[in-house]
Amino acid sequence: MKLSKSMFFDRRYIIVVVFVVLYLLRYVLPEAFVLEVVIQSIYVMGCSFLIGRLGLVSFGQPVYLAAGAYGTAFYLYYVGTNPYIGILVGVLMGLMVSIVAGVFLVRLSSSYFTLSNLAFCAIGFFLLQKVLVKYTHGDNGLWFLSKIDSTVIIDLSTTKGIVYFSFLIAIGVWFLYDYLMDRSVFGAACLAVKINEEKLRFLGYNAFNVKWLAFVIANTTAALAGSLNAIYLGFVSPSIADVSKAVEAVAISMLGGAGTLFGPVAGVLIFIGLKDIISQIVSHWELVVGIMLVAIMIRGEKGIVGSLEGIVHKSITKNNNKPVSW
Amino acid sequence: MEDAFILKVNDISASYGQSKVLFGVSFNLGPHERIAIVGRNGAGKTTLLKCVAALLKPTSGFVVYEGEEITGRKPFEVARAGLKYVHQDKGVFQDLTVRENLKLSSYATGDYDWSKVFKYFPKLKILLDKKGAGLSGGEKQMLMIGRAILGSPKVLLLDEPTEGLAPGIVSDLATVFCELSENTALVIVDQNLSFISKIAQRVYGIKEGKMVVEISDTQEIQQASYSRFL
Repeated sequence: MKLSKSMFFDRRYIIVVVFVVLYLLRYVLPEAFVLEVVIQSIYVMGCSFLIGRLGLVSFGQPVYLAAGAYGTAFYLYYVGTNPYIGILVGVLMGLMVSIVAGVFLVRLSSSYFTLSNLAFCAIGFFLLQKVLVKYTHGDNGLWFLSKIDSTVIIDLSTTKGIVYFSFLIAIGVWFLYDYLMDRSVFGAACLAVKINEEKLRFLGYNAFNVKWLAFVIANTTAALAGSLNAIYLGFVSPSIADVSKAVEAVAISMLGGAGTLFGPVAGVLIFIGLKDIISQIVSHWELVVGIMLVAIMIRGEKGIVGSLEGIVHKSITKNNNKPVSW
Repeated sequence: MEDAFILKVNDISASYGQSKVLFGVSFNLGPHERIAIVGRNGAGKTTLLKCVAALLKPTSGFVVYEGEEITGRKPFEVARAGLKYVHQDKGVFQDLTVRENLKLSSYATGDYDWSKVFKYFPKLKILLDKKGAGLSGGEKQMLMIGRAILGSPKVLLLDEPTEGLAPGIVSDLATVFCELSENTALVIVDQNLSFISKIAQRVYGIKEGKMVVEISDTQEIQQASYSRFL
């Protein structure tokens, strides 16, 4: 096959390369770190999409993460032993929660949407910790690691299997978002919502449906990350939906570059990396990360990947008017 | 008997909160007809178009489109039914390319035949990969109208289409509108009388929210001065 210049800039190839490089990092860095990066990246992807492509800042992401994690946990603790079915149940749980929550929350705009999601997250946490304690075992959580069956092809009862599977899932998720963001009419409609919702209606679009669908896709992605995390840890507790973690996904999205394809990966790498390194030196690592976040925001609202995108766009596409988007 | 009018606006009144803007405005539009509404800033021209496009609910009166009352329906439903509104602020989607802007409209209408857009606005063909933000005022207007004619709408509501455009482009637009009206009825709100006189088959003057004059004689329209409508 003849290699063309444009092939190297096809983001689908870049996606594969990025995740293969990340996968190989497990031979240099701790496997747990690499796995955390990939699962967190999947988690942040939905949030980044909502902020960057629709202008919707959600402080409720932990509750969707928890929906996936608890869907998987309930299945593996109470019903069966197949981790693949567990993941499927977790994703379906996230899908249902997103569909129902979206009907109410997507009607709200700007800060009302943000704070209502936060409130929804608080409700979720309360339900898991107090109301459903009979099923969730409250703060003691659900332990099901020993109940996970070994499976054929990719054995999810082993860490190696989970790492491999998570990377395959991540590539699939990135292919989906690559299509959604820049190859589909839906992606354009999402951006149009962000720019001017009313004008999208002039063209015959039901803007609510566009936002609702985007909200469901984004939060089901978070639920998928929750499922993978639950399988990996073999444990889940209400702290996964803790309101104090609500800002994390938003901060990482902004750090990496909201709405960019690789922003979540860059954001998570830096965020978790810094957290791990700085927390060994000072106890209040949040302070350092906070200052860094403010500095990046002052330098430019596009985050790390967004800023790099601008620089590369200027240099590579000098003679080519085609827009570059990562 | 088939109705002679595709659009009937009956006794529309509208207000923004406590402030009344329109007082019992009525007009009719025949298929393939080109009518213009002229008036000073703040006379209620845009409000009237918004009421027709279902972007603003009138306090009284109703709008009938193709024999069906559309008052109170959602704007996207009205747009899908073939009554399109072209906003006055050259509001293309700035972060999207011309291609994406057209794609959005194609997807909503199921009409992927862009040849009619390029027939009227050939320049758009070479601007396909340019983002909306980088277009000139005239190019934005071309894109907005191009986007609106996809799906072959039956009525186009054009709000100040010549505002801020160079005379050459205005002249081209006049030709395009005349050609467009072979398939689409047009309601044009504008303050450019020489432009209006070239294309309008009927002109309404609106003043302080009331229709004050209607001229349907082409010769009379061409001779009319601005003060006649105010």
